[in-house]
Amino acid sequence: MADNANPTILNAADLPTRRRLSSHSATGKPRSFLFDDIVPADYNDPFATAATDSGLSRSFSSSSSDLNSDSDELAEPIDEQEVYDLISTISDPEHPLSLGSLAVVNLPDIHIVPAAGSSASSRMRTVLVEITPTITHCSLATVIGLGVRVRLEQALPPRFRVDVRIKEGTHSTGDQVNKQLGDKERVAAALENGTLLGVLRKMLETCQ
Amino acid sequence: MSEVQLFLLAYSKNDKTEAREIAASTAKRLETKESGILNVVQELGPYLTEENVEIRSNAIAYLSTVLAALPSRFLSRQQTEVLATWYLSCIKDGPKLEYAAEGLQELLRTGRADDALVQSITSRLLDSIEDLQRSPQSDRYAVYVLVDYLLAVHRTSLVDIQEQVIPGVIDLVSGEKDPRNLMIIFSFMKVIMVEWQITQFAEPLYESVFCYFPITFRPPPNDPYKITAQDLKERLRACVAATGDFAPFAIPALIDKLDSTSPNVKKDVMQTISACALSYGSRVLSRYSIPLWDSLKYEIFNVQEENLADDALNALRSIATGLSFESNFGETKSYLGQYTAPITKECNQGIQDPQQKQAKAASRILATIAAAGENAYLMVIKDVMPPLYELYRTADSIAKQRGLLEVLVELLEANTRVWGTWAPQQPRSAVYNPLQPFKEKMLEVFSPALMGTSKGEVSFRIVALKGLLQMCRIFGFLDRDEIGLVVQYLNDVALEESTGEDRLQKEAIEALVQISKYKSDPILEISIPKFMAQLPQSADHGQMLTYVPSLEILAELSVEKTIFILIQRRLLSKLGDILNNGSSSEYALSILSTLRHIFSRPDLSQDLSLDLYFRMVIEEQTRDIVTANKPGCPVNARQSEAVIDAHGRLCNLIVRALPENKQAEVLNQVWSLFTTPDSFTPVPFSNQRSENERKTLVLSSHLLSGINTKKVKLDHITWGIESYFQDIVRLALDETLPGVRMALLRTLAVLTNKFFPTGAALPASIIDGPDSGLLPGNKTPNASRVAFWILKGLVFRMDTSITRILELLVSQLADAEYGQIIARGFDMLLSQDHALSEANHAIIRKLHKQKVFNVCTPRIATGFQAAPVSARANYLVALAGLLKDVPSEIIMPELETLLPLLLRSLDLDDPSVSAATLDTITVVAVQNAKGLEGHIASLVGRLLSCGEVKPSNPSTVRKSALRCLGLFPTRIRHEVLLPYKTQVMHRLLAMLDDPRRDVRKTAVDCRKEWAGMDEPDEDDE
Repeated sequence: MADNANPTILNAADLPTRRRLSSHSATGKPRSFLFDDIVPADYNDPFATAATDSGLSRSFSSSSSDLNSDSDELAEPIDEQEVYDLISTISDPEHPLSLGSLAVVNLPDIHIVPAAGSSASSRMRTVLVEITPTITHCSLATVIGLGVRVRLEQALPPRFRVDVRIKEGTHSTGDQVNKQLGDKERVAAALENGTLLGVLRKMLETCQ
Repeated sequence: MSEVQLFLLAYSKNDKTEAREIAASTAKRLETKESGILNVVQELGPYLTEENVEIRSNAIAYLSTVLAALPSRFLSRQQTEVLATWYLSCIKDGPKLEYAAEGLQELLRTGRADDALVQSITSRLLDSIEDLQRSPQSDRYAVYVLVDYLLAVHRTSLVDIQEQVIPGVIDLVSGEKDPRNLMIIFSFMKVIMVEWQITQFAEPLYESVFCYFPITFRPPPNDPYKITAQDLKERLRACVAATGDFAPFAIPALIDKLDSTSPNVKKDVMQTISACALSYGSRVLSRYSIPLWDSLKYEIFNVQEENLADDALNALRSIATGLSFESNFGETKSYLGQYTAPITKECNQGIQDPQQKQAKAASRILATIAAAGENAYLMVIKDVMPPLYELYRTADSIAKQRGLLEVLVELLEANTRVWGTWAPQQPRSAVYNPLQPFKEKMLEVFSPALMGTSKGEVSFRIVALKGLLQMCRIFGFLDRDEIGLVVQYLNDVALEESTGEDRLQKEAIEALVQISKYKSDPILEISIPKFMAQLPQSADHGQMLTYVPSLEILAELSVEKTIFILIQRRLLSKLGDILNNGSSSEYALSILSTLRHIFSRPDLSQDLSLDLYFRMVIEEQTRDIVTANKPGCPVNARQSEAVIDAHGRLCNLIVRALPENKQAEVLNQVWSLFTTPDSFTPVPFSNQRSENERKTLVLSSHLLSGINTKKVKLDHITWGIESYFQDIVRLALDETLPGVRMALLRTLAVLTNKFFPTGAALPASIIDGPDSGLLPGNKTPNASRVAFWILKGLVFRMDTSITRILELLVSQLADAEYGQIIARGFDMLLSQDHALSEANHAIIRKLHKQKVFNVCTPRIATGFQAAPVSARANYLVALAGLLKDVPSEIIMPELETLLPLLLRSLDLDDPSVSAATLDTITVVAVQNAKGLEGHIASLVGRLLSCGEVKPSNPSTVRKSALRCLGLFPTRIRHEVLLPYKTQVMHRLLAMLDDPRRDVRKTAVDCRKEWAGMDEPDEDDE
């Protein structure tokens, strides 16, 4: 029943992660465990927060410690890596392996672009994910595509339109599968199917 | 009444003790020859012909009980024979076999039975029982116990009639289903199988037990007999594996059952195969080794469940072990060789493309079989190494090469399991290690892979590093120079600048630590000098990257004693240099942190060099710091608050470990800090002190915290505790430097915690003195700091005074001006503090948190109701601060009172209060979610509000709120939550767009949990 009993597997440590994207030495200071337990001297001095200056009468909403310091918090926009993280831990329906380690989903094949027809200032986005089946005649490609689609629709905010396709030239009936994945009504109908829903649920169980 | 009658009466009343006493008195008379055994039987006569079954069997029990009370071998052979015949006739008559069987066993013990008699009894016994399975369980059990006894004690007498016994016993047990009975049946069947030559009965014997395979028994709930399926499986397995004679039946059957769809059955089958392989003997096993491989490999190559693959691997290894027991000289191929040849062939195929799924399986199989023993290792290596090397040489990509090296690393690891590592007390083989001829080649492969590959190929280099490490670990494999070379590589790799991730560096350091456990010389001679040389002579501010990496490595390496000693000496002398040469305080601080890290050893108090540390670190360096902070000294690194604090912490570590006499010395120098009176006046003696001089109070605080007052006698202390206490209070009230103030406050807490005798009342001046800060009226922030820190010391030791002080503080929460500060104080009251830790010998009573909770929470709850609206927030802040440190089992019983308050505190829009409250609610949700069920509506709404982006919800609060909400579906009954599902799912949509990534992630997880709840009838979503 297995389509491909012996697929190529990527080493989990080599999958793209955010850790690798960011360079460490941006601050010029190493992050060292040696300083983990050195804390500012007034740590654990809750009085410092309530009583700085003559601020006894200050209201509570403005009286708090560095918890508040991220009010100027940096925005971290949703990017391709984040989308990858959402879908790479989906399980393959036939191997106990993740779509990431089977290279079914790959970071370079994820694209976030402003949604077609929206104005430049609009926050509407389209996320395009191209999946690569492990073999060109993989009968489960549609199910995998559906899984990716369901996961993203659950996990991305509504301003994202999700577009899942088979990567060109990686599947013998890629066009047909794409048609199925792009057809809202057929997707909705598929999700009514109890057996299919069970398979999808099992695939998404491992999402982290 | 005769004794028989008395006995029967007692027996029918179920008074076993009395019955036994009566029988014992009969036995006594028999022993003293007042009566004869045949008389006793005669007396029984009438009862034995009774219609009533009960009376008949109780009469048998009488005789048996009498026999039980007689010494062994009391009866003559003749008497034994007569009684045996009598018992056998009782058995034949049935019912109540139980008593007769027990009696017969007593008789065999009490009487004299030669081989002939035992044989005759046994054969008549087997003849006389027909259709045992129609008797009740207890009867069957008694018969099995009797058979078990016969086989255990009279086995040698019975061996001559085994042709009669074996079929008889098989007949006897066939059809048995009760687990208690099966336990004993499996046990005596194994005796027959192992002890007798059973070749001619192999098939029926095997059938008699294998019909129970696989065991699917499930014990009933509260089973009083406590027999588990596992017990039965193990006993049955021992039977199946008992003799190689079973192989022709068992192995095909087991292979057949491997196709089962149940993972439990598969597991059982594979464990049974493993047991059989280890016991059937090489010759027999070799006939089946190939078919077994053909079936077991499927479980590994097509792994569905990881632990099943492990069982299959275990079975394969057991087969290899089983085949190694005997060699078959004269034949062209050894048993083992016949087995390994197809395996290595197939696995060699499997690793051709090492990135594919089956390559992993192939490599595990090879390593597992190789680890079975010297011969198995040799067989695998000779078939695998040459093609592996060739594949590596011709591999066209690094990914492929890495896969091949991984195979090699597994084989090296398997080698250590046979030939052992350098670690002492390890099983090692004295046989020549067949890897020896490949040593050079492997070094030639691994070394350039690690050192000559592009820096971006982290995973590839890590594999190479692991290979080199494994080679260093194998006992007697690499010589001194070769290990030295590997250590040099590791040094270089550890110091390499990382390419964004430091996995490789970490592995290198870890490998050096590993090697240091086996061979410390190369680390001492090559690594430490290398890393020390990396430390610059001096460094300015902002140059941390030049020395921190080396310091980190040194800190990690400092595991083995000899290495620790060398590193700390070198670092201490380095520290002295840089404190004097104008380097930045950052540099000194880094070295001090490293020293502190390496001195945090649990065994420091056993260190023979403690005296030296005392002199060098505590005395000399402390004195140098004090001297450098005297008025008029130029600006230098020793004046840095951070350096002083770090030095103080280092001293503290050493003080804790010192013996009493040295601790006493420290205690007397706490204020003078090892200076002479003419060079330095202790700070508490004067208020007119410069900032720099006041910083030395930080040192005093750290020294004082480490003293063990349970050991050191306080009578000889040269300074007055009470008057110093007052001085410190005064200094703390005025202090403006946060670091110094903190040190003074900690000093107060340490003094109240362990320097005033427990049990006795505290000096009145401490609590009620004008400067104690505990009295209302003194309303500066510093005064409340002093009050709470004094209290903290007392709270930890659960002093009797705390109730009164806590009541006072809670009552002040209503104070319009002061209540806010007091409320914040509760935040630190119960929190951990390094000065008041177990390691610092603080007095910490187990129930102190309970006590504070019990005093404060009811008062906070009622106070909240009565307080003016403006002050209500203070109560909530105090509660949140307190609860965050109270264990949940204390909170749970009061949940009903507290929850309304907790919910209100989420409305305060105060980030720190929200954070603390969310933590508390999360703990409740994890441990006692039922307690939340009545408040779901208000909780869900508030948690969602806390998850919204607004100034009062920093990302930490948003994240905690969503994490807590996400716990609900896993902890709380779904019917309680379902009414809110639509609302939650909808409002979470907004949080999927949170500006912070980690919050979005939590929102996704939370939403997944809520979405996973099934609605009874789904309409939307």
